[in-house]
Amino acid sequence: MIITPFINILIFIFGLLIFLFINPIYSVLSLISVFILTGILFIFYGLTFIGLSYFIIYVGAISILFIFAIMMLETDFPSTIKYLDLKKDIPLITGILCILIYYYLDLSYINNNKNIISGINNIYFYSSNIKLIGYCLYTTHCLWLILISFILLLAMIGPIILCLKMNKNY
Amino acid sequence: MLLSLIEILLLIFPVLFAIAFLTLTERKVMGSMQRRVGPNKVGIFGILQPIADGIKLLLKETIIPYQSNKLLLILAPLLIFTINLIGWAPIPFSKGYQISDMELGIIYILAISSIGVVGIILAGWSGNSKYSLMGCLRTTAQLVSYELLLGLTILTVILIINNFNINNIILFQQSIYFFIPLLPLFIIIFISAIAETNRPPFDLVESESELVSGAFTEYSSFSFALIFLGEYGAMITMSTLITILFLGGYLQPFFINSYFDSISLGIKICFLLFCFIWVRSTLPRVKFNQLISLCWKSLFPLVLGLFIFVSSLVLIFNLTYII
Repeated sequence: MIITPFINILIFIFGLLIFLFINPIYSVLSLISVFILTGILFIFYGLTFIGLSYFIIYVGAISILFIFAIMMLETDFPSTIKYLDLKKDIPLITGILCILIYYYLDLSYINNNKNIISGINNIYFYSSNIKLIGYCLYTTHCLWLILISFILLLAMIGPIILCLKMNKNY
Repeated sequence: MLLSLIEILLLIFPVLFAIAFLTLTERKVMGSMQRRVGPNKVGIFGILQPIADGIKLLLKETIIPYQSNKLLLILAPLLIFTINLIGWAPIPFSKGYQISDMELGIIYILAISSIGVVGIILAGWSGNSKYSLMGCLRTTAQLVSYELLLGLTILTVILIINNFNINNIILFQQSIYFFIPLLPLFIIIFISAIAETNRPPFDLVESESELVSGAFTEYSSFSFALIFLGEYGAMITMSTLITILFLGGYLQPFFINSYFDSISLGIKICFLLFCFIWVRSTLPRVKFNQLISLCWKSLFPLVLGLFIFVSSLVLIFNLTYII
């Protein structure tokens, strides 16, 4: 495909623009264009289902919610420079830890179950995109799925706990 | 190349004409329901009224507000209109009569309709007006909530058919149209389609007495015409989607000849469009909290329950259909 390098460059440019724009609406709009272009790229590569689900989930729901929140807020931009704060860097540390855990878990699992994976490799050629994703998610990569669901649970519980603490103070 | 271009034009022009005459139909039907005549001056029975309206809109002055975001203000109507036309690509009018017979057709329609929200948000924000901002915030909340219902309903149908192709969905209904076994879902998808296209009684986006014309207050002339076409086009697209999912698409109950396929599709779509207008002239507008609580508190649990119920029925009786 001749177009794909151009799309890659465009994705890179829009990705830079996300944090170069001062206006938050503009940065969310460039985020949306990154998502749309990524979806188009996936479709060009033949992963149609993942590309279309990018449109539905990221463009249709998540970015729209971002815009929604930003439009409702009074947009004040923090003028002070952010200093290094250990409390604020906790998400970064946990993120790196999670990536390490995924990496080692996945490797160990693949080493133990080489037979299953070779069996699935045969299915790759005969089934559609969606079936393949299903096979991968529920057989070889089930540990990833469980871990991701735990992270999602954390992301759901976190805001609730934050709100509870706010209520106690006031 | 040229042939495919002609094919696309052959699809787009009838869609545009249908949109134009849908506005006339709405005014005529509402006139009859309110014991008025409706437009009857231009042409015979007022049949040229939409053309006169279009010429009027085109001849008006294009006003761009001074403090608006000019680029996005011009871009947004184009986005709304284009996305509506793109959505027609996988829709079949008869066996094999479609622009592209894609494997994931129904997911494609869902994806396209979810991108459409971006255009409305841009239109509301770029005008730099309080009313249009409020209107677009309302639209966003409404569309995001009701898209969930739409998606779940489509997923339930997909679960039964075990396929995403639109042609397969239609051909599966040769034995029975889905609105008979899945009647509650048919009603729910009709309600969510009304909400998704911002039609009364869910037209809180532009409830005339409150927010003028909602997200599109700052628009005039041709850009307003584009938005208008986009809105009515969304109505037709939604009715087509419901027809494909629940009323058997181009299948015909009485005629045998396949020349009548597209006519039967048209009749079904017209019936649904008439229902849209019927609902508009019958029901009063709801409040916004009622709209949101209708979605999240009553319809969403119902659809979720039906989704699980139907999928477990398919699993228990081993009805998995393999194409």
